[in-house]
Amino acid sequence: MRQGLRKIDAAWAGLLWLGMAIASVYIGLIMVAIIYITTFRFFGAAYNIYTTSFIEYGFVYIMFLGSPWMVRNRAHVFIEMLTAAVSPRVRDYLSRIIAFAAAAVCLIWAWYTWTIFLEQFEDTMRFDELRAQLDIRLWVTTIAFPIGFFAMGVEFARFIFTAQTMHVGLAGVANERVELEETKRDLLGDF
Amino acid sequence: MQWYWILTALLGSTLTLMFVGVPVGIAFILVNTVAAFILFGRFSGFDANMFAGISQLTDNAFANMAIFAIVPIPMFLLMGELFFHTGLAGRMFNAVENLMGRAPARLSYVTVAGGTAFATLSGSSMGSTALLGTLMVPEMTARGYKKSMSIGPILGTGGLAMLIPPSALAVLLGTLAELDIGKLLIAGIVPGLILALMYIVLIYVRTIIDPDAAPVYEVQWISWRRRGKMFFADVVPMVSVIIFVILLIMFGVATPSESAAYGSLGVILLSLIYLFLVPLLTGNMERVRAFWPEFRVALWKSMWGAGRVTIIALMILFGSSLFSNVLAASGASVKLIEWVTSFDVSGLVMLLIMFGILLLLGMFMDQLAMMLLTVPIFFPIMAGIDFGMGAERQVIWFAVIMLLAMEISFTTPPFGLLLFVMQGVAPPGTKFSEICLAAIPFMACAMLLVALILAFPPLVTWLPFLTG
Repeated sequence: MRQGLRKIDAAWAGLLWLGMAIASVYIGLIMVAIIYITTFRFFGAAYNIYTTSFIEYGFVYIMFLGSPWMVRNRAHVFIEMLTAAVSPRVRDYLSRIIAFAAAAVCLIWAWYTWTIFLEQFEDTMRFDELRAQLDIRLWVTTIAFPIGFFAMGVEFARFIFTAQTMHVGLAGVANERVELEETKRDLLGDF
Repeated sequence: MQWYWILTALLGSTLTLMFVGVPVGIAFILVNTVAAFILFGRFSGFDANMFAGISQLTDNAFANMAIFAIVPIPMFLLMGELFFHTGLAGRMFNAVENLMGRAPARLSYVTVAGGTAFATLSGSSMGSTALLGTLMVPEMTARGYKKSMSIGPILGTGGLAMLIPPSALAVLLGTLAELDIGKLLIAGIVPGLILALMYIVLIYVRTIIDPDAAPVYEVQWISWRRRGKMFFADVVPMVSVIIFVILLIMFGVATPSESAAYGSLGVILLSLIYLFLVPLLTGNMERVRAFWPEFRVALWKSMWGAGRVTIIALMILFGSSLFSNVLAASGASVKLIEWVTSFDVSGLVMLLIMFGILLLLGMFMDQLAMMLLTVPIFFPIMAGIDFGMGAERQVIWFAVIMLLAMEISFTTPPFGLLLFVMQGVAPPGTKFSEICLAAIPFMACAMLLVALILAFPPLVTWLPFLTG
């Protein structure tokens, strides 16, 4: 049973990493897309009109693809001030309550955005009006919301039940610590 | 419900949630979902009202996020990450250190230059403080530097980083406040140079007054010829890429999005020259063979790093769009502006009040959260005040002041967040009072700069509007 759960957890973690990896690569592709558009326009050549939508829609996809991994790795911005001031026992309770609230919000959003997505998916005549000339179905704009919120909800829920809490009790802004550790490792490794 | 109760409830509950440790983005989503449920829900039953509220917020969030104007954020971040992971930033840092020779307080100057570069490109003065505090302070302490000369410059670099383009935070502020990002980036150049000059003068004066504050120590002599070579090989090309990006924006040749993308491409091309072409031409086949594995890793790390910060910024944008949406729908933002402008106080007093609020917020939250909370309120208020310089110039001028205020708030004793970060990474035995004392002169420089900008707005507005 325990081993089975571990395998599921590893597969889920792999999936979240993949989401983050796709989000990161997407940023590289945005750079390529802009250079492609600009260069073609400069030489008066026609470029694929979907490229702009690829870039614009990308921001929503990037956010929802990468956010669950960020939650798992405590890389979102949250402030540890009160949690750094209280005793470890109180912090443990407080952190789990916060994780519960965050998970609840994400799952509520996942549910309702899923309903919105379904409604838009079933209606074949609804298009993204802001990009009317491209005939992009409206569900394309909302599909990332339920997936991203659901995965984030699951990740916040992990902090309720597992031994690891979201807050560690070190004063400051949490994501900066993650960034610092990674940058230090990279810089000291590179040079 | 009166608008001021709505505003108090929105701000109060968001701040409380942030203070207890709820992730900033989630705090905004939570509060605004409840607000939207009440404001947009006109149906009977919980389910229908919730659907209406979230549907409205989702539509607005997508419309505010899926826009081309956001492109400079990930592109400038990618450019910065590429600089670091390809080793180009390290080369420049080493070259600057060597070029300094035996100058008194050389490590303080190097810290100002390196810290500014790092914080500017990474968009995180907190990350920069923590990194330099870990790497440089022990070295400087070992060389006999006093705390004021080792910790002070590190804490000061954050302010510079906010101003000197391509400042990732300036881009984010420009996006949130719907400003001309190109003009905002260029507006930071003159104040940034003035602040850098102030820091240099401050360090220099301190070494004159107290030579023991930064003792001179022996370093290996490097001939002027070699220094010149180092300057042209390791400093000029890297700086050229940044200047090239700024010039493209300044003269309207390319938009900030396009300039940033070409800047990233420029860094990739430079790294190809340094890591592949030069070793190939000099016959260093070992380096040539190592090129692809190293370059691939650098590219991957750069995209990953840019991705991580972009996702944080997008989450903030998401929260901001919900907040602006709810504020507008409740009528609170319009009423607040009417209320604020009804007072018989000068625009300057109003601006100083906003400045004070930012200083207060910086005691417990980071710049992204501060922007998220204040931009939807402060910028409409500023639009209602006339400083006699034209609306377009005025918002850019205010944005630069806001950037500086946010950074100053970070180092304001006794609660500035950077002070605590520094204490966490400084060598054991460093007293908090020493950190505060070290920060004060550099904070005073930034305050002086704000006073100069208030007295002489063209310091900010001259350059960006030079080309129309």
